[in-house]
Parts: sequence; C-alpha cells; structure tokens
Amino acid sequence: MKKIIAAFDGLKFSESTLAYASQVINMSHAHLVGVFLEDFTYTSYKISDLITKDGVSEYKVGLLEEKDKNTRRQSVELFEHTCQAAGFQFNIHRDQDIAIQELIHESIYADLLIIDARETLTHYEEPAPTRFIRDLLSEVQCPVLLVPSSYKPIENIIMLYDGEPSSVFAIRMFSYMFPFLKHLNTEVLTVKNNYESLHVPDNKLIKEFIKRHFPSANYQVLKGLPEEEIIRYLKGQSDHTLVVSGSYRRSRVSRWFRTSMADIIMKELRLPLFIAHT
Amino acid sequence: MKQIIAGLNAIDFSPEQLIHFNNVSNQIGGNLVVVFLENLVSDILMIPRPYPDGAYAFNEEIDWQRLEERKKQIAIGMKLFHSTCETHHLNLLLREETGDPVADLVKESRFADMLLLDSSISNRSSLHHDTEISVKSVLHNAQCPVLIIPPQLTAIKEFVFTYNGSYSSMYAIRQATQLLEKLQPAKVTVLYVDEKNTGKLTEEKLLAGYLGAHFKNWDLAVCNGEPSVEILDFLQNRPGSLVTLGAYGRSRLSTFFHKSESDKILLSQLEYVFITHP
Repeated sequence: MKKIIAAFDGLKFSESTLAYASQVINMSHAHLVGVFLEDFTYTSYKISDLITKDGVSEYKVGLLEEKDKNTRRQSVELFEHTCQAAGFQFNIHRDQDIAIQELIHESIYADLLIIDARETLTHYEEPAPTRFIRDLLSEVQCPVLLVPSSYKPIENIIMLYDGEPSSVFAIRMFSYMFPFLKHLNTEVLTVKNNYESLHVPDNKLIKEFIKRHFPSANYQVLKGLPEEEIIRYLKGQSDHTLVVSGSYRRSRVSRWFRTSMADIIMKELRLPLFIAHT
Repeated sequence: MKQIIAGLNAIDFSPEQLIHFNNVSNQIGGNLVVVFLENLVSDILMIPRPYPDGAYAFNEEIDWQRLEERKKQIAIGMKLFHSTCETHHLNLLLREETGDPVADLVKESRFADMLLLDSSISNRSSLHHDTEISVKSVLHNAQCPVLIIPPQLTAIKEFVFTYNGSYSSMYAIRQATQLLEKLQPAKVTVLYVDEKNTGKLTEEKLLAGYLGAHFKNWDLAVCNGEPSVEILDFLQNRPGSLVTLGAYGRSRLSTFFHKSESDKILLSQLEYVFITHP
C-alpha cells in the first residue's frame, strides 16, 4: 500500500485537493495522510487588522486567533469526515513549524504529494505558480500532483517527452504511482525543431519502455518551439487531461525546462500536473 | 509490466545465471531484456605510432587475430544463449551491444525500470576492464536503480533497508519498495546505522508511517560503529537478503556512506545489493 500525502492550508481549505486525493485513493487503495500546514507565522489576518486607535488590541488578537483556530479545526474535521465516509485508511499530521520546511520534510517519507497549484500559505492572492509552489517544487523529495482549484475527474493523460533522462524518469514514476490509469487515453507528446525528423528521440528504446507501462499509448510529434507548441496543444485538450512532466529547474536543467515548462503550464492552463524529478 | 534489463558478458556467462536473471525479473513482474555486451571496441588497442607526432592509432595487423578470436567466442555465447532459452522455455529479448559496455548499459538504463547486473560481470578478455571498475562505472552513471545479483543464486527472502536518516537512504528504501512490491519477502528489517551515536532513530515516526503503509511487519536493528563493518557483520549468515544502499558516490551530500562503504559490501559479493541515487 502506497503512502500519499495531501497538503492543506487549513485557513483556505482546498476542496479540489481533497477531491483529487479521493479519486487517487479510491483507485489505488493507498494510505492517505492529510498534512495540515499550520505555520505559526501565518494567520488569516494582517497586522493592520489588529491596530485600533488605542494601539494593538489584545482582545481583538484573541478573537482573531480563536477564529483561525476554529477555521483550522473545521478543515481538519471536513477532511476526517470525508475520509471516514469513503472508508479510506488515513491519518492526519498538523505541522506547526515553517510550512515549506515541514512539507519538504514530509515528502521524504511519502510516495506522492498532492497539493493545489494555487496554494500560497499567505493571506495574499498570487498568480500561479505561487512563490510557495515554486519553492516547494525546487526542493520536494517525492513526485507531486499539482491540482487546479476545481476538480475534474482525470480521463486523459499526456506525457511530455524530450529524450532527456528527467522526462523518462517522470514517466517511470507516473507509471508506478498511477498503474490504475493505464486504460485511459494516453499520449506521448514531443516537440522537435523544424529541421529535425518526426521520429521521437531514442525511438526504439522509448517505445519499448512505454509499451510495457502504457500499452495503448499514442505518439504525437509537433514542430516548433516547445514552450509555444505544448501550450497551444494542451489548450486544445479537455479539462479532464492530466499532464506528466519532468524536471523542475534543478542543477541539471533539461532542454525543455530551461524556461521551466512546468511554470508555463501552471500559468497558462488549469490542468492537473504530475511532476517528478531526480 | 516493468522493463527490466540485464547486462550479460557475451563471452562469459552461464545458463544458470540467465535462468536466475529471468526468475528475478519474473518475481519483480518484469519483462527481461538481455543486453549482450560484446565489447568489440575496447579490444582495439591504441598503439603509439613510430613518429614523433604523439598521436595514437589502431594497429589492425596486431589486433586482427584477437578480434577474430573474440568474434568466435561471441558466436559461441550467442549459441549458448539461444539453446538455454529454448531448453528452459525462456522468453527473453536480446539486444547486442558491440560498443563500450558501460556507455551502452547507461543508455539502456534510461529506458528501463531496473538494471540487473551480476557482481562478477566484466569483460575479462579485455585489458582495460576489471570487475570493480566496470560495475562501479555503471553504478555511477546508471539512470535507473541497479540490482546486483550475487554469485550464489539464492532466492530473495529478506529486505534489509540500510538507513542513516539521510534523504538518499530513504530514497533507496522508497524506490525498492515501489519497484519490488511483488516480491513480498518473509522479513523486512531496517538496519539503522547510528553514525553519530545519538541513540535515537532519526524521524522514527515518519519512517514508521511510511513502512507501516507498505509492510505488515518490519523489524529494527540498530548498530553503532564503522558502517561497512557493521553492515557486513549484520549480513553474515543471512543468505537471500536484499540490502538497499542510497546514492552511490554522486556527491558527498548524496552519498550514503562517506567512505564508499558500498564498494566493500558490493565486492564482498555476499548478497543482493539494490543501489539507486536521487
């Protein structure tokens, strides 16, 4: 049984994270851990909210802290009730240290992390990819499923492949984590420049490998700039499509990810994105 | 179905070895591709020219006889391979690689779930290779986890997960757990190497949470002292154990043991050794 962690901000509970986690757990029968990031430096209110004409109101601080405590408790209860009703094997971690560090640490001991791509862990709104998600992706120690804010059941899979080890690694990890999605429509997407042939890189080896894991996968080769062609192609896909991609800007940068393809996908699209990197 | 590749010395393998590779692959739930390492290139000796330009050249006349002899040996190996497959009804894919064996295996490993290697694999007729160098080079560069098969062809009865609290040791445990989930050994033991003599298991709760999700029972063994000595000592009289080791010499940070302890364990040729690096 695999161990999957779903990360939540208890002050802004992501129902779509829970919905995607539920779909994955239903199909995989994995063990689910709800990681509630209750960072002591993060509150729903701003410092300016505490100031009255007589200075900082202790009474107001108490009220707002109590409100946050209740909101967080309700989020945990919602998670708990949902898991109980669905009959999942689950447990809950309420992490109260610095959120990003806690989550990276949790990821060492997990097979997969599910999190909302719009998570900020601040009371500010930020466009995707948020600073929190960027920091998380550059340090996370297990594969990540970034989910959009509204849930759409996964019905199609598109795997980005550029011949680099990181893209093969992502496909490999995806096949371990989601063997139950093998029957879905699966496509391997490659972009080549205008002067190259339409063969996928390492044609024979990758096809042999894909055949073992996704026997009915199709191949799509586009020509042009990956940053443009991939986005154009994905925009034409249904909202029920999950995208699999490789490395997220680490020390060894793959060809596709010089400008971080994952960032562009998060910015331009609202599709679940599976990222795994070595 | 997983894609498992096995590197086989074309002129020095036994039918028992082939059968054992096939059995291991079947147990893992894999499809075995045998990469026949013919290593014709490394037999090309670079002979200094009798001119002062300092360049080296291939001397065909000197090497011709050796090449012919090697081709004959490879033909015998090929015959043995096919007869073994026929006699024992092995459905194996064969790929011949005539170039540099390390480079060929590394390339193949990018498109595989696991690489099986015999601990004694080498191209013994070559002057440029010996056992240690050959296996070590593959381990340094492999792009998928590697399972070293011991000379004693015993069945896998126990997982021994070496752990020192580092990410790389946990990464190896995770990879082995995911890849070898079909093996279901009778026993699982975490061998904790308390290098700093803290007397405390690092992240005990998170480790227990992860292993508890995957295995019904697991034991903990703690040792203090020199890791290689302790591990070898622990593995004595435990035939059929599969020991996991974290990163193999990528960088100091990602190396499980600081003094290449895995060399000693590997070269002692005692047990199955599972090596991977993040």
